[in-house]
Amino acid sequence: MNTLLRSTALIALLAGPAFAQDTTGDEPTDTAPAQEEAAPETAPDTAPETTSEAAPETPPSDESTPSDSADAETGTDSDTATDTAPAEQDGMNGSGEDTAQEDSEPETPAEEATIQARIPSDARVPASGPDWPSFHGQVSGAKYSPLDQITPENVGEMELAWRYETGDVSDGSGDLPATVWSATPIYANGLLYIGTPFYRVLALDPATGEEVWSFDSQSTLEALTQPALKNRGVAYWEADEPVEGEACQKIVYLGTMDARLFAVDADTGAQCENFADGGVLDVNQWNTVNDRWPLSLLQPPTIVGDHVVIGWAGNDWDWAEAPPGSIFSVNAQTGELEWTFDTIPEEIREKTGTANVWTAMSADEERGIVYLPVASPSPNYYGGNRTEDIPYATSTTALDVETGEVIWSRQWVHHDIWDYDINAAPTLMDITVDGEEIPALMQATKMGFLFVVNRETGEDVWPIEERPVPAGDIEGERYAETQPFPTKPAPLLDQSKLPDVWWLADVASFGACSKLWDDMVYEGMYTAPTTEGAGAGAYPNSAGVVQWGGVGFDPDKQLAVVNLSHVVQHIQLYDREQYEEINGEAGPGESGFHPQTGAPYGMSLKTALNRWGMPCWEPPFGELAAIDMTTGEIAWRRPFGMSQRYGFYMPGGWGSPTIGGPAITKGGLIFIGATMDAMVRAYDLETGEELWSDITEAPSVSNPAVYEHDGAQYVAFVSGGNSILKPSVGDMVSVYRLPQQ
Amino acid sequence: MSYRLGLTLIMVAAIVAIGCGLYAYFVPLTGVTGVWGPLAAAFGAFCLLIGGALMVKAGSRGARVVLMILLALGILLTALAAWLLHQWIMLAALAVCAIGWLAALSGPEGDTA
Repeated sequence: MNTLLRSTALIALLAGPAFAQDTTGDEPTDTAPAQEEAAPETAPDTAPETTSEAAPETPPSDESTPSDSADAETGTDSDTATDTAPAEQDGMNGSGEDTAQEDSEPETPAEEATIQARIPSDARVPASGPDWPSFHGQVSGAKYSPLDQITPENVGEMELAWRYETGDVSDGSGDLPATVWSATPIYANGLLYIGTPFYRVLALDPATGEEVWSFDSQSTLEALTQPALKNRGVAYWEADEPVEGEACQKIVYLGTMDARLFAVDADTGAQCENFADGGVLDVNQWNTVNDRWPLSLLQPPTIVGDHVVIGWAGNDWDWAEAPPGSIFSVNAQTGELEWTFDTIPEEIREKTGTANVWTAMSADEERGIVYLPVASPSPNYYGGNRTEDIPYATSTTALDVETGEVIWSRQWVHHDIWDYDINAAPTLMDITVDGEEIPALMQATKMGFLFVVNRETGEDVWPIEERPVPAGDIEGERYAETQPFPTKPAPLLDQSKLPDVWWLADVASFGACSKLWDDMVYEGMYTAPTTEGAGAGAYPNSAGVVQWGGVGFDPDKQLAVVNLSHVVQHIQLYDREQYEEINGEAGPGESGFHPQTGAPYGMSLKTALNRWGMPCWEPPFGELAAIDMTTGEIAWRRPFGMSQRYGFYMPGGWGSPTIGGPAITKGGLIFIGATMDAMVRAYDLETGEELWSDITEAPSVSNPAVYEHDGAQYVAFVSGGNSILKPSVGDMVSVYRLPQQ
Repeated sequence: MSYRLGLTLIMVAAIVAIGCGLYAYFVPLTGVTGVWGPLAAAFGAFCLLIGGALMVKAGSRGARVVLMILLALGILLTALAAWLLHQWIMLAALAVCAIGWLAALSGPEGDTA
């Protein structure tokens, strides 16, 4: 059979498995951002009165070397107090009214004590319920449901309960840009809420899929900052004690491409008049520095208590200067600004930008901490204009959700020139390591590292070491001497060397793949972008080993589950004159040329494919893995999904690049879409065995939702497609359950 | 099995395979809806249908030999496409084509050359 597979593959591969040409982005872009001209229609002219953006006169260092005892990130348990960017150093949190005056001052012991006093040291991640009220199921990011009707024994009987097509879909061939829909349905208040890429909210009957109400934001359908119309769903809030008969005691929030946040009543779909300006908050009013484009709200905000914490997405690669990263917390009922947090020191904000939070955040509600996965600064592949330290860039940063003050911060890439945004919400987990219960946090990354730290303090659970990395040769650039490497869990793939050239692709291209490998510069993952040869190998690629679906966690079995991709790209820099001569264009899926206007170098990013579109590197191209969090060891891993091109499926053993993420149940199952083949699947959590699958309309690039309604367990998948995987769009919600008795 | 029956099998199965390819292309949720892979497979099956018809009309042994070789290649490649497309009914239809082709190996009655 293997021989047959190989031989058939030869022919099939003439069609070539499709790997979308690339990815990345502040918003994990699926296609090349090409809207250079996009700018907010109405430039904001006032900053919020309640906002303070005090930055330290001398920002804390984001670099450290083992010899730098002041802030060395030596990654050992004993010195992690220095390895975090502690609150004393931050000063960049433009906190709300009550802390504004102190923003640039070291935090006082009294304030620190206040923060500590609010933190119950034995608080655990709250148990999940039978609902699915947020993007990752729980604000802890665990993606875990305690439901157990559906088990490995009966999941094979699972059948379609209903399907719903929203109609909000475009393949880009008409007047509208293509859609990329990655929404996870929200189950709350007895309804299923879904946001669409046409910026509508749908409330559906969870058992039948019948529409209960819908809300149309009438938002612009222009790709202002992204190459596509994108949406990752809605957020839900409800009052602790809802007042009977009063509107907007339960609210659904929808963000739009043009930076408006709508609040609608969860029962009726009517706009909440008391929220901001008649139910709409213009977040772009706070876009006051380098406002080349509006702050797109594509990821639903994170709800922590009565706080709506808002990040935003932007346009990567085209500009050196961009809106600087900022997080806003507003009151859930009024939309009033409570605090802002700025990730870039004030002195350098105008010459760089981003380091924003475009993906989901997570929060420890018991401790009052919200965790920010912070992206890289602009421009993404050249840092000569931002040689100063930007300690919160490419970090996980823990903020006091009441004030926006920094509790701790860990930078995962120093002086990031690879666009290795932290792109997924950290997963909070209570784990037992060597008999000790640890309130932990796992941060999945584009690099394939899973950093595990104590979520109270930011200290290592397993040592995270600073190791030397190569320097580059670009004039004016500054190179970090070391980068953090976790010792456990092991990296999800070996980034110390490029994967081997795939003989099949090499033969089919008459050796072009081998030549490309010879022409690429690669000295490990942190090889600096270069003008030489075919550029620097980017492995992992800029879309990342793990994407925004993040890591799921089963608190009973202490297993973490993650899907991953193996993709090789190469980044090349061109001096401005050469770049202008080439006059290259952005390609599909974030490949091609991008100017980094304002920097001395333009760049290109290309996936390592041969002329037939076949990947030049050896399979597998994607996997699903489980990690035993008591030991940090891999419990199992297996190729996952099938690559597909022109309809032809490649053998399952080759796997598929993945975008999306898992949902885990107490019943012992992993539900996941995420693959090119547009299939949704169920796996045995203990063994990784595939137990069930179904075909949907397009790749399901969001996390599934698992909920109980009227006593029955349902699993909901959204199939919206993503051009990173293949040029396929969809508008379908598919919901499954066991046969009714 | 007679030569004529073999050709009939090839043509009928090819029609079924064409139908499968078109179904896979046009009907939602086949996993290959709207992409050219199933159309290519349907085209392959259409070629088998034409080949079968030409076999019926073929007067010379040489023409029949050439057509039989082409039919064999067509069946193999179309079956491979059906397999990679996960179109199992189409694959079964092509298996029937192969049986028909084997039957047709006997040649027409009276052809002793």
